[in-house]
Amino acid sequence: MLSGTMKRGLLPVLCLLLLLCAPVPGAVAAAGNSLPVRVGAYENPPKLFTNDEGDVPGFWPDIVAYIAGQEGWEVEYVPGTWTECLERLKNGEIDMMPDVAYTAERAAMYQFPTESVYTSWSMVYVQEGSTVQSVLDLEGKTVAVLKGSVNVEGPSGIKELLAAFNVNCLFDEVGSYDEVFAQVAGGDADAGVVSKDHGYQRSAEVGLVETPIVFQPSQLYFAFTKGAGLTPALVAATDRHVKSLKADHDSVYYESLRHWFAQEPVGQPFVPRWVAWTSIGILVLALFLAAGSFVLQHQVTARTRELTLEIARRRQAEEELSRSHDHLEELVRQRTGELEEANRHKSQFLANMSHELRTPLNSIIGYTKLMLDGMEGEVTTDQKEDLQTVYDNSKHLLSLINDLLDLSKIEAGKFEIVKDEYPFSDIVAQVIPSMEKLARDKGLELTYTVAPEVVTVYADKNKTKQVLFNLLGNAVKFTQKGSVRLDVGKRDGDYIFSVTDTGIGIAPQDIGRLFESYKQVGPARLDGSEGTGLGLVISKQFVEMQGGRIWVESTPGKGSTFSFTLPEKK
Amino acid sequence: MEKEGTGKKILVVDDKEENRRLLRKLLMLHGYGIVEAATGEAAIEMAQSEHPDLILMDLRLREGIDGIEATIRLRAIPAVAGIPVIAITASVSPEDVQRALDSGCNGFIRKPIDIDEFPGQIAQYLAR
Repeated sequence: MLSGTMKRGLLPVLCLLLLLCAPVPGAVAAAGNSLPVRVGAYENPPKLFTNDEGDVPGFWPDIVAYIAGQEGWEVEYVPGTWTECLERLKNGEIDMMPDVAYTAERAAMYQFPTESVYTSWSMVYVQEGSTVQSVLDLEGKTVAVLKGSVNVEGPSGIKELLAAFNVNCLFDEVGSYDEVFAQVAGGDADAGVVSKDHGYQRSAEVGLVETPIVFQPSQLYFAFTKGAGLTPALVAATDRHVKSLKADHDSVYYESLRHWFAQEPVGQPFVPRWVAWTSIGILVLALFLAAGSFVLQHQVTARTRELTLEIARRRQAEEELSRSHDHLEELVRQRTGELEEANRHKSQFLANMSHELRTPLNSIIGYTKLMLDGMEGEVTTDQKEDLQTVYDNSKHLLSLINDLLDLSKIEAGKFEIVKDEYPFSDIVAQVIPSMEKLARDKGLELTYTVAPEVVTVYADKNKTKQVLFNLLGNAVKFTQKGSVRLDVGKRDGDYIFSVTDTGIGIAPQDIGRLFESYKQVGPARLDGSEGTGLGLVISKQFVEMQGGRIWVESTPGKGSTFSFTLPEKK
Repeated sequence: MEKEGTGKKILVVDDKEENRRLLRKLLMLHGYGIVEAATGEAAIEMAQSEHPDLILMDLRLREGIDGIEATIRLRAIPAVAGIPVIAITASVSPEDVQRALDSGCNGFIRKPIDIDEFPGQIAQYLAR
């Protein structure tokens, strides 16, 4: 306790020392002598109180000491109770009084400066375990109060507050806040009213707890004797210094607040506990929200970054895809160009080869025929037979060359179908005569029948003729005796052409291969005759190119029927 | 019996002697008179000097202008422009056929020629 008091007394001493050392401005230096100022002192630790040495330390004395130092006041404390002090101030027995709450009533009696020094409010304290939690709970209870305190009699004081709630209780009026607490702690009172500063400072020591009953926020001032000659100077000095002290956070004012109340200044505005608690709640909530917001913000930022990256990655992938697509297209264009070029070369090569092969054949066939026909003089029977063999084979070679060329063109897609409507007689007239001659030479009969409804045919004339030449030529070639017949009719919207012979026929296992490229029936099967060549393969292509189909029905040894259809004009 | 070619003169244009000889023999058997040229340029001169009734023009000539060009030039000379020109070629490409007809040829016969058909084809062109 002693050391505590010593410590408490240290600050003003330090302040004084500082003041002595520092160049003293203004009034002090100019005046040369000190101005005696009497200050009332009552017991309200830690705001002000009298210690064992008879000194008056506390928050208010610190402020007084600072102003005194600045202004050259010689301070004398005049101790007394609260009411005694106020009485003395009114009578001019003291010059100033600290810790006075402003009320209109008091303002009529005392001189208040503009600047308040401290903000306080009052609270109700009870013993631990008390049921008193609100003003209503005070009904019929004994309440200890500080006699004459503004928080008892003043506006918004406890009496007015209880009256407002129509609560009746007994008041135990005592001389100091310490006595108030003593009454409650001793069980003589159920509750006690003290300033929050007293409550915070002393409640734990005496084992009392605060209730939620908080009231009468008040601005505390130095009050001065009204009308005294010294008062205007004191008020002016006090206002000036208090204002500057409050403005400087490192001033004696704040140092003292921290020292005596171990708390940051509450400042000028009144802050009730529930506001503080609510504020803390809000602060905590705000912190949570801020933290949540920060976390969310962080997550959103992270997610945004991920999405941005993802978008960039996708865009890049798209670009790559697009590039490789372009590259592919370019490759395809290039390859197509190369293929087209190769195809042109191939076609040119085939055309040239065809020309080169036909040129010697022109001489072989031509001269052989000249001799064979006796235009170069008489030939013997043997010679004639030999020349005929040369002639037949060279003609066969020519037809093979022609077929190969056609097949190449088919495969190269060079053939175009040119369909038109022709009188059927046009086609027959160009095919039958030469075939009749061929048949006659072999001792065969060639006949044809045309159904009356077949007047015109809708077809590619040249290709249809070629198919007919091929089928009739084969029929004559593979028939040794009997007849070859062409029948033309209509069925199910199709023209149908059938070439029937009484030749060697075709074994069932060979039929499927007849129309396939490079898979013709072997010569041995065909009775030593020449192969069919590529004629059937080409015929199949020409028929199908016109939308028709081709097939064969055959009985080995009895003969075959090759048929194909061509669709009618739609 | 008078042969169908009697009194008719045919100009055979071909760079290969063996081809000209084959046509000469064949056509002479049918009574035609034959004159020959181995190049396009010679053919144009011969056409103007001999005034043949028909010209058999090989399209591929190894020296000088080809048969197409020769035909175009013949058609530009009024004195011989009316003489029928029949293209003879071993080529079977439709493009060549088209080019021949575009240049002014009256007909087109493929090699190898069909000896049975050939005299009849010539007679037909002359009869037009």
